[in-house]
Amino acid sequence: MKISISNMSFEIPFLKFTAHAGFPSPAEDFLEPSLNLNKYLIQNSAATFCVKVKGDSMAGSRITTGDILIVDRSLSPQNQNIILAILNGSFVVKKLLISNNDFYLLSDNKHVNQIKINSEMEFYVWGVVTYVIHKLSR
Amino acid sequence: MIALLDCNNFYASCERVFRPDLIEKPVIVLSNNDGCVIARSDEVKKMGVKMGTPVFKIRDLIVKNNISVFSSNFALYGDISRRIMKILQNTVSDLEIYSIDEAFIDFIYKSDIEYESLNLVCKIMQWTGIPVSVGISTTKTLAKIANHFAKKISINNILFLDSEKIIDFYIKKIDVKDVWGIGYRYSNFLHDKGIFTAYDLIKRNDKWILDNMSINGLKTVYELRGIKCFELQTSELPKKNIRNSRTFSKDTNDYNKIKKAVSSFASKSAEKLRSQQCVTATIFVFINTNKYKSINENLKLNGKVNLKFSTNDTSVIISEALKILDEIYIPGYFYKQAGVIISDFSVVNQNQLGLFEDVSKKIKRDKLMGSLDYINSVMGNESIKLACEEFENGWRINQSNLSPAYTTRWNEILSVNI
Repeated sequence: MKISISNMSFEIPFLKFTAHAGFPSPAEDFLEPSLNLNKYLIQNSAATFCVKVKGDSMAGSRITTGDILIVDRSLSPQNQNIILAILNGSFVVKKLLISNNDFYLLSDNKHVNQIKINSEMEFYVWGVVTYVIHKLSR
Repeated sequence: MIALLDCNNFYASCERVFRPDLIEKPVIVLSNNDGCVIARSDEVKKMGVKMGTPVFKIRDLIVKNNISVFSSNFALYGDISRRIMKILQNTVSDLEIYSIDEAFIDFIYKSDIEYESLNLVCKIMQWTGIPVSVGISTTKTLAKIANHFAKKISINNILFLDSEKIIDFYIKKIDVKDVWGIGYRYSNFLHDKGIFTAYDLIKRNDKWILDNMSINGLKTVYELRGIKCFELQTSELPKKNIRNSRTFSKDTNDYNKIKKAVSSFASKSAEKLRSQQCVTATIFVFINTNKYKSINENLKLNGKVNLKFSTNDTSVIISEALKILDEIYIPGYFYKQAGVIISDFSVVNQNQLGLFEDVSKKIKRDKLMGSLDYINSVMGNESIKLACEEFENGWRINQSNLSPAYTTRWNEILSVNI
């Protein structure tokens, strides 16, 4: 059985087929729906989006090229969250640092790079990254 | 109290969610065939571009003002709409989804309506990135008016018309043509009679309105006076008719081309019909010539057929549609647009078998149609179709500025360089 990420799933739990000959399956009455990755990865489907990343500036947070981020817009960003944000008209993925009412955006690789948000920047948070889908063998 | 929640410049706003570089920049979205303007950002509205303007008329303006132009991306707009309606469904109890970007809400408890509305506006903005406006009043028609002004004058996109004094103030300001349910059909007539605002209209007596504007006109007037006539339709009714039409990417005098287009529309209609488990009894076909080209007079040809046996069988609907086309088609003209409308539906189980209908054949056909829909749903739309339908996409849709289906296709999701 395949676990499908999309909402459209056409698989049929095989135990549902009644046995025409022989013994009926003892599991028949206990059959449960198969695992649903949507349920695991998405808490709020109306506010959740998937985003693909290119680049390795967040490698320290285990986000690398080709990964898919699950982004939840309904969450309020907290200190140390990985966020998808708009900085001066472009999308960025950074770690948010809040200290003494100042906001900092951190890259997370060998060359840690820190940006302090000031009032001249156009900055807002698009959503909070909740999961990273990373394929191990490419 | 009834509220109308309406998304601001919905299609343009959807495009901006994934294009932060376009915030506060002029954006337009074009109709299905890149023909006319169907959505404008505020910046474009200020330039005086009207809804429905053919794009060729504003080519210079687009270049001069660096307007971003998008083909309509209904996969995206439909998904964003679904998200917004889901938020509403989870937040309020009485809801009527009125269109892709509008919903009526019945607020039963009067005390915290403004707080509730503000809460919805903020929530939808944060969760989906779409700005919305809320107009609140005592009837649906007045809520529509409240919404109209909420977009124009309110700082928080909410306008609450409750007292008679405030309602009077606004209905004196609104043109009758902008009143829900009046529209262009009556507005010219009313202007001729010296009725310019909604306020002028409600001062007429009931008999005059009934005589000149029918019962629905009278209901609209009552609603303007604050008396509820239109209830919220909270349960979704099945569609009463299905329309499939399109403007050709290039005017054509090729009969075969038009025939294939009509076949495809008929097929699409049949598929939608089966998805809502209905059968149709009436098929209507139309073809139009180009009204913007003077060489052709503006011809509107159409015809319809009432079927003996209601059906949702693709091949029957196609063959009936083609018979109509054959009758209405006049050779020698260049046609701009074609379409199929089916109506007069009944639910499959209620549909009685015709006395002379071949039952075993019908059951076989039903199975065939079921398989067709299943294969198309698994393998992707239009994986299999009837041979008379169009196979190349040449005539189909001009969508030169189509944005990705960011939220519904894995290979098109938003990609970010980090």
